[in-house]
Amino acid sequence: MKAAVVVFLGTNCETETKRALEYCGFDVNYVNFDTKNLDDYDAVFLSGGFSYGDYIRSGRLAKFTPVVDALKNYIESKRGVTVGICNGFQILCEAHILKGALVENDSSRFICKNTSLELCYKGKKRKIILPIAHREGKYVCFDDINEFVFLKYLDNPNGSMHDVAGLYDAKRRVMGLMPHPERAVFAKNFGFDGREFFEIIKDEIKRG
Amino acid sequence: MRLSVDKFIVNQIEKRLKRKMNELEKHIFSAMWSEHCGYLHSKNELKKFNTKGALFPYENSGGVKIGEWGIFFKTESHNHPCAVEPYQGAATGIGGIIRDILALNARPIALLNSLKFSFSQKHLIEGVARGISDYGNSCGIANVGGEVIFDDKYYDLPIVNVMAVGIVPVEKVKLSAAKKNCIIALLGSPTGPDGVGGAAFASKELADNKSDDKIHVQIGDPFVKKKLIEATLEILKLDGVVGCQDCGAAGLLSSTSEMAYKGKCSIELDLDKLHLSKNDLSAAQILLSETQERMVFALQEEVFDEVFNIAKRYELEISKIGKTYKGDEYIIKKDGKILSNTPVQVICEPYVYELCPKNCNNKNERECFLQTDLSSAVNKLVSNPEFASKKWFFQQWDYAVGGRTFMPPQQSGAAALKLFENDYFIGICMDSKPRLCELDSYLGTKSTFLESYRNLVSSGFEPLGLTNCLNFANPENNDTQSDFVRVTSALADISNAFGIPVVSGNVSFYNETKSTKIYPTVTVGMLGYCKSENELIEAVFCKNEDVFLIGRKINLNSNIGGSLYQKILFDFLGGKLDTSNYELEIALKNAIFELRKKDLLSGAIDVSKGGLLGSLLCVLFNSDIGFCGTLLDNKNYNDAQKLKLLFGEIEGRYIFSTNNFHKTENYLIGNNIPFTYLGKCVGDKIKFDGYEFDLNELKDKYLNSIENVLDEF
Repeated sequence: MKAAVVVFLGTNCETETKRALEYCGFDVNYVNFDTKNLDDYDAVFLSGGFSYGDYIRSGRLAKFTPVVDALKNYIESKRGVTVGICNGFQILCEAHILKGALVENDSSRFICKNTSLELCYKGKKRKIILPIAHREGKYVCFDDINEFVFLKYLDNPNGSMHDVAGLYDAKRRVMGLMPHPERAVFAKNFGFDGREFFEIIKDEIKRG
Repeated sequence: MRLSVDKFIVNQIEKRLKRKMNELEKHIFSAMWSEHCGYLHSKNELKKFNTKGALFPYENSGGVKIGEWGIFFKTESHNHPCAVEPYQGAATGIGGIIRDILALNARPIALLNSLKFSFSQKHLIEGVARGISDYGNSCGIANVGGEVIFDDKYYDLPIVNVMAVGIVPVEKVKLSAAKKNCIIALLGSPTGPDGVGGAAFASKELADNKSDDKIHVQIGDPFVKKKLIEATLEILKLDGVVGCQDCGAAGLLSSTSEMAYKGKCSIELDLDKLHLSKNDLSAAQILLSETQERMVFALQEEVFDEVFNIAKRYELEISKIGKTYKGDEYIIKKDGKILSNTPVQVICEPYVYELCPKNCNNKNERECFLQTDLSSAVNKLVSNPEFASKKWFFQQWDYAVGGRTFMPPQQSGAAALKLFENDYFIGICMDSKPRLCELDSYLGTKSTFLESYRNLVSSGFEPLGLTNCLNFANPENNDTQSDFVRVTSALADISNAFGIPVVSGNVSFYNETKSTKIYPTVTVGMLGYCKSENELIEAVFCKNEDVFLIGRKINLNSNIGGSLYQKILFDFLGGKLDTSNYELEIALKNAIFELRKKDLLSGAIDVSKGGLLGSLLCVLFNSDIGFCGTLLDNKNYNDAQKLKLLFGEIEGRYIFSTNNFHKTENYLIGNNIPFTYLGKCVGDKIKFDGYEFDLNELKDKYLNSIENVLDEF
């Protein structure tokens, strides 16, 4: 399966995202922020980092790049699955591809640690552990999005409404999450639950 | 702008120039012959260091070789800026050390910090922690560890030492020397008036009114830094790039003059060609600006277009600012006129002082016989900010970005990173023992070295090299000189004895105000390696495992000067320091590695802060498990004696856990390793010698005592 990892200026998790995806069996290319077409790819990953310094607001400036327009076409044409991780999730919200917004953590501090989460996939619930690393990860949304939530914090670290850590769009082809599955693939101290997450992505691609 | 060159130095300069300096030259020399750039008081002493086995120890940063890869690492101090502007001071400290690594074409992969504060100065702690967080996290370089020490000696004089580690194939390393017939290009942020005179500012005592000093602090932009890193690494891949240097202290002036000096060529800079953020800057301001996020390159003319295109792709500005040619001249042009023409050698070979301090007064060798009961001592220790968990700091720093981190901070003695390039692992730690150095700067420095050594060993790493940051008060003062000479001798002696080279370093003097000065603060950063994940050791014990102590046995005659419990319980600093035994240290290292190989060792920690009981408590909190055993060899000790034996700090000790008591005991006996059996990991109580503590109650204090104070509004 072919995956694109989008690199904006200021993106900084592209290397580990590529490494993790390759380990999980993807064929990975980096694509730059000026890319205009993503149709070659079965999945597009917006990885973590501080795109454009996260100036003004996290993810705010990245949405004006050509690759985000290309991404909108990609999603519209139902070509494949889109996944936004951390800054990628923030960008998807800023671009209104996903509902809601990510604002500053209740503590107003950056939080880097492993968190316990509840993963709901195909009606089954399971506890997993993934690392988080963000300062603007508090999810806020005033619509009823409950049915689209696939990942919830068990010990809400940032004040997210309804403990939301990750959700789908209405068509279930776009996923955004604050935790970093790509950091939970190789090292025991971060757990290996990231591998399971990427298996789910493969499953989602096959579902078509 | 302040000029801080004294009469004696002015005479030295003019003797070498064989003429008077003009106005601009006064600025040039006030920076280049400052302590910060010129190492006037330290250069001679630093020659003592053992660099055998180091890669490029005289470049922007030195390193060690692991496989075919060069691992470069260096420390830098940003004490003065942090005292006046903690947020920007810390951020630009990180920025500066990253560029030192980057200049060698090494990709920065890890950061560490060694910080010292007075715990009463919340605004400094908060500002520095956030500065490191905002800058390091945004650049995408994992902040994997370090240390934080609290002592009122650092009131108004915070110590912020940062360390960066980078990786590059050895044959791809770029050096800083220019060659004749190159062009000089400046990449990155437009030069502005920020940080002008920073080098001279860092070379004097801090004023009591800090607002005057704020102008000297640089402003950081991590987004530009991230782009600069990527662009620089692309540019340095090109064949026509001859040399590279970062713009740090004394900005463009020091970077360009050093490139010419190392390349034995002349350089001519045309200041009209620079991209500036403000138009009406004087020549001195442009030369001395410490605007962040700039790199200087010496290039062959034909490669400039390619370099220009890379810069454009990263939305960075670049300008051709000068050229090199045969000779020994440093020429500054502005508005079509030559403003200064001086020999490169005079700029870059400042006068160097010979330090010949008289013996200084004896320090306090008095022993501590104060006492308190053990239960209250344990509770005080675990909730003391210096002993307590530093999670409040580490959680604000992204320690996992890059995906190389295998041990989160505090999980083991050293941070562990995987080099996916060659499947090796590196371990890194940063340590200092300022109170020990205050009592005896020679033995205290050795103890600091061994602390780092044992931190690496207890995590499974073979130590390979070290960097250091030497923070001192005014070097014109006899006591400071005396300590400085002893510290550098100690570091030279012990690094020679262990065959571990000093690859890089930094010196920061003038850490004093009118009323107070810091302890001699020696920060050691050490790096080691291991070959596979199986060799990594965590400071975590498991249920039902047996716990052993190996190494020295403490007794009532041991020298435990400077032990942390004396400061925490009695605000006492005194006593003699323990001497170290190198053969024992090496035997203990070998024992730990072999036990690990035989699967007889599951977790380990070196015995340091808080002595035997302190280290045992740390590891039990980490492991979330209780303990039952015997720590004292006799029931009849009085309270003061118990404190000494349980919390006293001596050299040469580790504790570890095993799941096979008999095989382990046999191994230790068979190999002549001194050991004591301590007990078993069980339950959720910590029981020893008639005392009993609740694990969770102590652990809660250990984890939250810093947070409870710093997050209180």
